[in-house]
Amino acid sequence: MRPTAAIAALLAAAGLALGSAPALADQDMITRGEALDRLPFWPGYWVSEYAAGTPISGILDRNQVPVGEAPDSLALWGNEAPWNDEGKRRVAETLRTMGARKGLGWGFPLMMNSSTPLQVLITPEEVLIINAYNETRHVYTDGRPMPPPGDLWPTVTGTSIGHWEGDTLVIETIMVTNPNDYFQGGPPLSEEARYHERIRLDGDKLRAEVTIEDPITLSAPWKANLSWVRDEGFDRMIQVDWNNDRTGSEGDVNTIEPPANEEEGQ
Amino acid sequence: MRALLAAAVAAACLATAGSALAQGEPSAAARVEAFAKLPYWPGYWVSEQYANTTIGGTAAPRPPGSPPLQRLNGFNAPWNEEGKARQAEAARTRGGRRADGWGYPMMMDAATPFQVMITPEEVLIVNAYGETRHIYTDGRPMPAAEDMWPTVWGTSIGHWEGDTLVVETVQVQMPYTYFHGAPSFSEEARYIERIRMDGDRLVMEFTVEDPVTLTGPWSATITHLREEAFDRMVQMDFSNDRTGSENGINTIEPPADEGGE
Repeated sequence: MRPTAAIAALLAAAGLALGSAPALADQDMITRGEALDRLPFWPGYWVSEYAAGTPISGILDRNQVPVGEAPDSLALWGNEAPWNDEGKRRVAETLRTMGARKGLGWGFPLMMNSSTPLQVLITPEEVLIINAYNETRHVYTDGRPMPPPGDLWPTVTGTSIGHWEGDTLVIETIMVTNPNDYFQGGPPLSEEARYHERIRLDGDKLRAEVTIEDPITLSAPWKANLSWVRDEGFDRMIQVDWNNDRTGSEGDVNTIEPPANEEEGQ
Repeated sequence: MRALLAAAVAAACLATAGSALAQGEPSAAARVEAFAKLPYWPGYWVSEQYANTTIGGTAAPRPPGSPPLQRLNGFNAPWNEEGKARQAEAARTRGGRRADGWGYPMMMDAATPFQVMITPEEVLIVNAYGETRHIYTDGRPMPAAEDMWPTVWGTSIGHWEGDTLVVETVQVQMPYTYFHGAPSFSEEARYIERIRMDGDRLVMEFTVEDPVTLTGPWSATITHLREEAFDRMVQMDFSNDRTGSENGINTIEPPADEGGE
């Protein structure tokens, strides 16, 4: 009763047709069940291994990390990337403008290399990767191709198409806005960058091999290895919800402001 | 056999739902069995009120004679004196407020498409703004009162009654605080939803009880249609917090330090 390639193909075709499709018949539900049977299950709230155990202060005591163990690290922050001249110019610019910028999240790819827990929800047609800031990656695994260039535009999390090679999730992501535009620590890659991820469970860790190619800013493919561990103490996703756009800035200090009209009405 | 397996799944999840969450793995067979029993609601759902909203942000008028649609904005809720006072205050301060999203419950009656991702342990509802509801269906109880705090989307526990998803949501911040079109329920409000497919519609029967602002339960039924022409979730990504305000007009500003060139 193991699913066959034919069933998988059928599922892919069904998935493709699902844009506005009605609910599936029972037979299709069995097929979906079989499809799920082939997929791994990665429950948990995953945090980059280097940031595991970060307390509520947001500052990890590096002294607590045993000597000789430097897991994962800030691999996607770009310090080791093979920047070309344009890349180096951009890195210099990011260093100049890095201070005092606020952020609502990490954006891609840094959300995959951060202290903010993320969840990987696996279904036959789509894998959804979502973190505590509600930053969401929709990774379509229903067999569809990457949308044509005329139907893509740069976004913070990019456009992702995935497929499974055994228990490894293989993702290609393109059309990501310069990650440094969104978050001051993001690598200043161009919108032409292509991100390849291979994510798999290895014991109690989730691991990814990431390769980034960018003809604008890199002289060669940039490879990084990431690892995540389950963050302890979470029994549910703790969502960070800012109280909407009431933030201002006074000097270098962020403030929370009431709506202007409430202030006036006092 | 199925009931036994389902019970096994629930037990497995419960057993691991404590401090370490559902990080143990229930039997794969039980999971698959549970998944195969669940409905599948693919599509990008939008409140029928807003179906076919164009890029201009407005929907075409519905055909003459169409039955009226109910709303979640609470305008017709049985407000008590406190509720009326809050609604009046909301009406007074409604203008000119910016928003990053709808918040709960308004995201369930919105022009912004949402997706329903159903897995055995959790149903995740996420919209184009990334507003996300994590609805745990692994059999866990509502967290203890001292382990909850008000949030924009609240805390939700769900279960399945046949093909109907029943969701209880508590600890929602006053929705109006987040979004100016939302009702002014208190943080003590308890929201019950019964969500099911009916033909091509996703139907949500919604009931809210709030001892602070309502004289009795308030119910509304919201229907959702699949938004046409979406082949993927089109995500709104605000370019982070570069927005300012100038005489009531929103602006996009560079970071202050970039302005220092």
